[in-house]
Amino acid sequence: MNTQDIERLIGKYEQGQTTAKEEELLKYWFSNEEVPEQLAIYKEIFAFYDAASEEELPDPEFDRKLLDTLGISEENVQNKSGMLRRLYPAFGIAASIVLLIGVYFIFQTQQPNTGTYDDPEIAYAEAKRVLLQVSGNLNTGMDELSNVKSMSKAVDELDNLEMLDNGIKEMKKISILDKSKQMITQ
Amino acid sequence: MKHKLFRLANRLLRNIPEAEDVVQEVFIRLWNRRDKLTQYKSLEAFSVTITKNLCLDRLKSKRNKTDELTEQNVKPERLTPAKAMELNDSYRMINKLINRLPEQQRLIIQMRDIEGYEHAEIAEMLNTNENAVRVNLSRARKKIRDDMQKQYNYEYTGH
Repeated sequence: MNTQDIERLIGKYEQGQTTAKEEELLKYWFSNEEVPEQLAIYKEIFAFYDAASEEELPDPEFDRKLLDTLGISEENVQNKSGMLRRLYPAFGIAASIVLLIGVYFIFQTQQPNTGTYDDPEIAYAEAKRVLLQVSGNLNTGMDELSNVKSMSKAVDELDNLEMLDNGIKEMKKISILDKSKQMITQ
Repeated sequence: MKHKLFRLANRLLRNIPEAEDVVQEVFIRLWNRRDKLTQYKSLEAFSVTITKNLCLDRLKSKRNKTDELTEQNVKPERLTPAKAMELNDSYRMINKLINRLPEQQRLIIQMRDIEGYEHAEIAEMLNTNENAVRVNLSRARKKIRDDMQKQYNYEYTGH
């Protein structure tokens, strides 16, 4: 950027035609360059705009006065933050729970063998193998169960025990007879 | 944001306690409307517009009370801390020159050259069009340059 460019830009500036970017450029140029005498006024003007944009509302009590006027006393504001402070332990507990769950999941996913397969074909083949094995064992198990049939035959045999039972009942009558015999003899 | 609104109010009112007063009132109005604030595209633009309107109202009622208070008859101003630091004369001189401009030009110089708003934003906040903003900006910038020139000629050519 030479002085001629700047003078042309200043002309545009005074027509109100410069963009925000061009004005930034002007401010930057005037704050950094050795400025020729015919442009000295602009150096001061742009320096003024820069400083003026930094000015602050001077009253240090402004915020408190505003809160007072709005009827929001500092006490209310402090109460709210006090309540927050009381909740801090709860935040801590919640955070640790989240952390523990997180750590658990990280370990879970980091375990090398989780019994899962990335390739679907291998997973299918493995699943098929396991299912066939299970069904094979199941069949041999069924064979073993045929012995249960003979057990059921034995249960049929047990029906005969009823007759025994009847016999015992008859025996009881005899024992009564026996007791009465003893009484007589005493 | 309170500093930005204060700078605008102080530019228009040229009176620090009054400008602070206006900024407080702006915040009170925002607070009272807090349920409806989401409907505004830009809270900042809305706040700037309220600030400007409140200042112009005050200036108007002041003019009605004391007709003789003209733009040329500005009370000597108390310095803000930033100004006090900038004790160099040219800062104070330029500030005074700008404060002598008509209200509309003062507003536009403040919004564009100090706060850096886009032409379109200024047009919306002042309820006018971009071309009018450019015209006023051009007039204000030329006037400031001319007045500066006059001051310098006065100072250097002696009395």
